[in-house]
Amino acid sequence: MEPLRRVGDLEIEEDLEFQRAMWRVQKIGWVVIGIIVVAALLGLFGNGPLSRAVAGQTGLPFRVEYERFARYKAPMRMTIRIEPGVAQQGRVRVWVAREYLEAIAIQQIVPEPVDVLSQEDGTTYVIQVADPAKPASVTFDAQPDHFGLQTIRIQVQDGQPLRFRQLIYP
Amino acid sequence: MDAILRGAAVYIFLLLILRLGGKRSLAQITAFDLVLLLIISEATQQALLADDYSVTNGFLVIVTLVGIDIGLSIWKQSSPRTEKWIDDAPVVLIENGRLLWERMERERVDLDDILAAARELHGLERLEQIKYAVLERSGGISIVPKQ
Repeated sequence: MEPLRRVGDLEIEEDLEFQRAMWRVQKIGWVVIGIIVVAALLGLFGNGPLSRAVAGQTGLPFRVEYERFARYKAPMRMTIRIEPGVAQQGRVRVWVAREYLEAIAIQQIVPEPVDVLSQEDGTTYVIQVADPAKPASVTFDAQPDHFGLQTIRIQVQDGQPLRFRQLIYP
Repeated sequence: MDAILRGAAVYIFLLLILRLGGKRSLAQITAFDLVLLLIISEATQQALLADDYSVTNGFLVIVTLVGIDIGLSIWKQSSPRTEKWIDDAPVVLIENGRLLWERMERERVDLDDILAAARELHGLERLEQIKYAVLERSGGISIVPKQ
C-alpha cells in the first residue's frame, strides 16, 4: 500500500494531477455527448433526415425509399415506388435477395402479395396493381434480426437488380 | 452469448457516461436526481434484457454484471491508478478555512452546497466555522468543523 497523503491535517487520497486529467477528459466527453445528440437528431442513428434515402438507377422503372441507418429489432419501413407501365396483366413481380430476407423479419407487406414464390437466391412477391398506367407502390414493414452492414438487392419484373446498402446498429 | 455482450456493453457504457458526468451527477442532491436514476434504469432495462424474458437470460445478465464488478474490483485493488479512473478521488474544497474556488468551479459545487452539508452534518451556521470541506468520491460533501 502506498503511504497516505496529507493535505494540511487531513489524511486523504487527493491527487490533483489525476483530477486535472479527469476534468480534461470530462470536458472532451461533454463535447462528444453533444455531438452524439446532434448526430442523433439529424438521424445518424436512424429516423431522421440523414437516414432517409432513396435508391434508384437510371433505366430502372422503380426506386426504393429506405432507411440508411436502421436499428436491431426496431421497426423500419421500405417503400418500392414503381413507375407506370411496368405491370403485366395487372401484376408486378418484386424480387428480394435472400441475404437481406435472412437479416430481417418482415412484419407486413402492403398491399398483400397475391403470390409469394420462393427461389434459390431470394423470394418473389407478386403484387396486384389496379391500374398499370399509373404508378404503384409496395411497402415492407420489417424488423432487423441481424446487425451490421447489409447489402440489399431488389429486382422488379425481369429488369436489372438494384443494389444498395443499409447499416443496422446493434 | 448476446446476453453476456449486452450486459458488458451496458456496464461499460453506464460507467463511462456516469464518470463523464462527474461526481455530482447522481449524488442525489435534489429530488430530481432520484427521478433521473429511475429513468436511466428504465431505459437500461430494455437494452439489458432485449425481448428475451427467460429466467436464464436474466441470470446471465446478472452474472455478467456482477462478474465485471468483481473483476474490476480485483484490478482496482492491485492498481491505484485504475481505481482513481474508475472510482474517482476526493477533492479538498476548503483547506484550513480557505476556499479553493477553482476546484469548486471545476466540480460544479457552490458555496451553498458546502453550507448545506455543514448544516446537515454538524449544525454549523457560518462559513468561518468550517475547517475542511471535501468533495468525496460518492459526490457527497464532508465537513470538518473548526474546534
